[in-house]
Amino acid sequence: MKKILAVLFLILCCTKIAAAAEPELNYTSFGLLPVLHEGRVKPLDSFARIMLREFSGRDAVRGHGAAEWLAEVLFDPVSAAETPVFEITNPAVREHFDLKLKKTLFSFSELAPGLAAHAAETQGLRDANPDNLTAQQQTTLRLYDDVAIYSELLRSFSAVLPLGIDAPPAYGTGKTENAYVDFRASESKIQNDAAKLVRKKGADTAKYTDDEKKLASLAFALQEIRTAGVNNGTLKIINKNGQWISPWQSLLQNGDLKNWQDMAIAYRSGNAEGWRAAANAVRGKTPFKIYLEKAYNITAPFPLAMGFYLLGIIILAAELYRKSNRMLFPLLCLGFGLALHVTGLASRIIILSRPPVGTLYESLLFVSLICAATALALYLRRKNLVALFAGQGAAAFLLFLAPFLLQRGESMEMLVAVLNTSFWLGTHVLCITAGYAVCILAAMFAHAWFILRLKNAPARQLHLLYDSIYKTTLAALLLTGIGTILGGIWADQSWGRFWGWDPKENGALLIVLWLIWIQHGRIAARLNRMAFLAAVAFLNVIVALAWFGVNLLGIGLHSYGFITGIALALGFFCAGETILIATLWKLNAEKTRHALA
Amino acid sequence: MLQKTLQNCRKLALAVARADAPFYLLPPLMLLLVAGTLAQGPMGLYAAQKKFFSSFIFWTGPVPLPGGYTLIGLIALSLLVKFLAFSEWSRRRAGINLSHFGVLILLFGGLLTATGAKESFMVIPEDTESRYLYDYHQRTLYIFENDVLKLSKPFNELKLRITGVPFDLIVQNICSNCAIVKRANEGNYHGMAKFMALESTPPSKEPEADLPGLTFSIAGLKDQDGTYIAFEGMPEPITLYANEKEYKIIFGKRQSMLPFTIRLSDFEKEIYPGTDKARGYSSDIVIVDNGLEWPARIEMNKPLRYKGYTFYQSSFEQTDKMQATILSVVENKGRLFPYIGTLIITAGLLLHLAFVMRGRTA
Amino acid sequence: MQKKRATLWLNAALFLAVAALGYGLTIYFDGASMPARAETETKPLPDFSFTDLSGKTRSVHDFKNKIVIINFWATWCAPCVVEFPALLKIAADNKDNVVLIALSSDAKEDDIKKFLQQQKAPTENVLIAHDREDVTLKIFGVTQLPETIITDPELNIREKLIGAEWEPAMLQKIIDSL
Repeated sequence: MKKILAVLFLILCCTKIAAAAEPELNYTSFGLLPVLHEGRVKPLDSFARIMLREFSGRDAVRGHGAAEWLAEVLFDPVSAAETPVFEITNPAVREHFDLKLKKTLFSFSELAPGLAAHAAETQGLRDANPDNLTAQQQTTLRLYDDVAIYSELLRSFSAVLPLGIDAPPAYGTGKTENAYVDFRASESKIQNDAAKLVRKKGADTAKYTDDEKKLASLAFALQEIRTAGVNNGTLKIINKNGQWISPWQSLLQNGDLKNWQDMAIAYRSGNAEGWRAAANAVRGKTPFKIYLEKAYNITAPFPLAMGFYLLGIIILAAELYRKSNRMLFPLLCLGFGLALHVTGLASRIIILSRPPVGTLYESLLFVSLICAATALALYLRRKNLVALFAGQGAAAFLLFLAPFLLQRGESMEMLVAVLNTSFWLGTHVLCITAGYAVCILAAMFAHAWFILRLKNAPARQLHLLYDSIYKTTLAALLLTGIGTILGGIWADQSWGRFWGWDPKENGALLIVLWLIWIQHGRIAARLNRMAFLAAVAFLNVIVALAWFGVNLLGIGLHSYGFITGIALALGFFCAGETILIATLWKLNAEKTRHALA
Repeated sequence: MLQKTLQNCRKLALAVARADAPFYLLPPLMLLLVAGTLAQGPMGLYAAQKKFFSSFIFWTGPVPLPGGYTLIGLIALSLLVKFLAFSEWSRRRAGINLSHFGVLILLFGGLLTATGAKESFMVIPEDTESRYLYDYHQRTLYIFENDVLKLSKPFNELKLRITGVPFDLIVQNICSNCAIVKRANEGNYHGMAKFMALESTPPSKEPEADLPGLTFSIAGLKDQDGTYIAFEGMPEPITLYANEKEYKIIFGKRQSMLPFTIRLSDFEKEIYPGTDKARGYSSDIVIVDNGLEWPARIEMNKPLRYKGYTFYQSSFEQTDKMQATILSVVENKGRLFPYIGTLIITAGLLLHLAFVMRGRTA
Repeated sequence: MQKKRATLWLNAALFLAVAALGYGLTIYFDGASMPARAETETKPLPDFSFTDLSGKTRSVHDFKNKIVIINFWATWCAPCVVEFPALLKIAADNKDNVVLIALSSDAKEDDIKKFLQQQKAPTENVLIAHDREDVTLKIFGVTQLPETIITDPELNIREKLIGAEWEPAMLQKIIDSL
């Protein structure tokens, strides 16, 4: 509550000094500034994207990118307070805060009065058990938290932004615009003199001379800014001997904020060259990881890869339709897609210094890679066109799903202790996710078999495909079986028990047992060819349940990826697949019956 | 006669070992997996595990169904007979045989673990030492006569009436994890039971945090007769006097002792900079065994193995005044078999896959 | 049929062999697990001279190239008395490479002599001395008896056994490792 008032004051204080009109500034250098956030040093570009996504659910606001938006927040808080950036989709919440109901994006100054009015009752919500809150209450709490962070960001550089107060000549610094830092040396003198003034003439400013009025307002402004800034540690952007601190923390430790002040001045006057130079001065030598991450942010390799895979499939379908055999373009698409995909994952490994499968999101990235890569390998080995469709299709679909599994903007999280640095964990996860990929491929092949048979594909093609499926299920068994056991070994090394019947373990085991079951069913001649293939096709459901369903249960040692709202999607998928497979099987069975009749 | 018996044996063996066995046994096992997993939400991991997987039979209402031990046991039997009697070695079958063999070894290790493994934990505050192990789940009632242990009864063996001491101890209520509530009703309550009552609550997320407790009544001691409560970590044990002897009643997690002592020199929690997410925990300890001392370090994912005990960094306790490490301690004679089994299974599957890829479908 | 019988025995043997191997390895690891000891700074043994009961004065550094076991004891210290025969036996078993110096903190030498009369005759490599200069406390800082120090042939102190709770087998192992 106090924070909101402090910021409002700051704004009132600086109302004369909104920044110059729309500067044409380049944000490359700014975006490369390193900042410590959530346990990891990242480029300001990433930080900006995460923050913007957190507040607004979008990647750009008013046509400006995240970095541009953040620059405004930091160096022109007056304007930033007017920029609509907080998304409120729940109409009940909007009404609660007396907001115009026509839109969903609100600015800080639009929200401030409503938030201040309801601050006390919200405090009560904060103390309650999070599980007992309604959706509206949770949204409200989150809004308060977001606004609190925003207000901290607005004030990050309050020490170097112009005060908008004319200093009395006695305390002048010789500059036209003064910021808090400029008065640092003389601050105690100013406060003392102001106190003396109050003792001499009382608190009523009507009795003061012009100069005395300026002194009083200067002293008051300095005091307010200092009080508001002292605890501001949100933007850890200054590296002091390996420790990352905020501008205010640096100032209180007698650090030099000159470069930042230069940046602020350059930004506010639209001085593109000065802006760039100041940012470079602050940056110093930028580590490779920061460059890499920024490039990663801008390129967005995974959506691009997904695009190439889809394009590849479309061109391939077109070529087949025209009965031509030109594989160059489809293969080029697949190749580009794979290159982007691999580069994206490699970048993540370098940036995060760990294997690329620590979170659910990452497992999707990896499984899709294996799908696409195996598809290519199978095509190159056996000219298996079905593989190209199945592999690229699955890869594209999984990449499409991936962003939905990110709870917040941050896709590069640091993991909890138990998931770090372990040979067994790394091999376990890589093995089992590769296993998922191969299972999915086998399942897609089985679907293809049913469809091709209905379309009267030549017997030879079907036979080759069946052979492929059989071998793929064996490979799947190898990978998932070994992967599951490696998981047990990791658990033994970490917790002292090889197998604990916990949901993730059970899920993996389910896949393995299913694969073993269908193999033995086939050997014992209890499953005929089509039953076997239907069971292989059903692997899609089993893998989906083991991979995602387990996280929904939210229990056991593996609940480090809790997802909300995926349950429905998963349910639809499983139901849909089951109906599809049953239908394909039935249709094929009927076809056989008709053929025999 | 012998010929006929041998023939019948063979037939039986074949029936057990053919591929049909896994075909019929695996679906119930898969269903069991699903049921046992879904049940963990409402029941808790440990209870679901005991009911579905570490059992021979479990009941859904009036219907008995095969539990984990039964199904896995049958599968193991089938696999054993298959491997012993029906697994000739040829290039074609080498991979399959090895895979089966590997699974058998894995299951054998599982048998050793299921029958012999012990899991407990130790809590050691910094700069102190301990040799006591506490069981995560087992509770025991201890009765001391003049400070000498007279009897100890494990939780699940606590019959309603305890005898063997010069008074009757009748168990009213046992809770594996109790909540202490204000005593609402009146009655002949003694000691802390006068104003506190124990209520059973679901198990806590961390099993070390469970508070076991017992409500019981004493008869045969006239003035001391009445209802008492005992829970883990009670400041004073229930003390009764009978026949000029002093009896102390303690209820808590089952304790055992290590044949050596562990001293905690320092506990460290490393966090990610700028957050409070833990990056790693480690305990610098000293093993004190028979007059010899030497330091060792236990970290997450890096346990200490000594004399058949494996010590894992499990968790920690922190108050304003002190830090304590919580180590989980496992004894498991079957612990090497998963590694051996993995090697064999990997070899087998790779071999078989290579064979099949050469074009010959089995 | 014959082939099937042979395979059965082969596979049974294979299974039993691997099971036994696994179990055996486990037992071996359980027993032999002296964990890697951190590199404690090996301190060199301070030199001091002592006079044994036959009157001969020697300095401990004379015994370079032998494993020196110094046992601080006294006849009035019960655990010292208990462990004494075991020490003598270890010394006897390792005549060639071990020297045992039993330094007694008794007040009177006569008590030591009387005590020894009840013991087995010590071997040549056992030197029993009366600590007149109180080396025990002044140089080695020993406040609780018994204490046993074991050095390597370069006369660096490698082990310290406090109390009498050690097993002879363990001491032998230490000697073997030096």
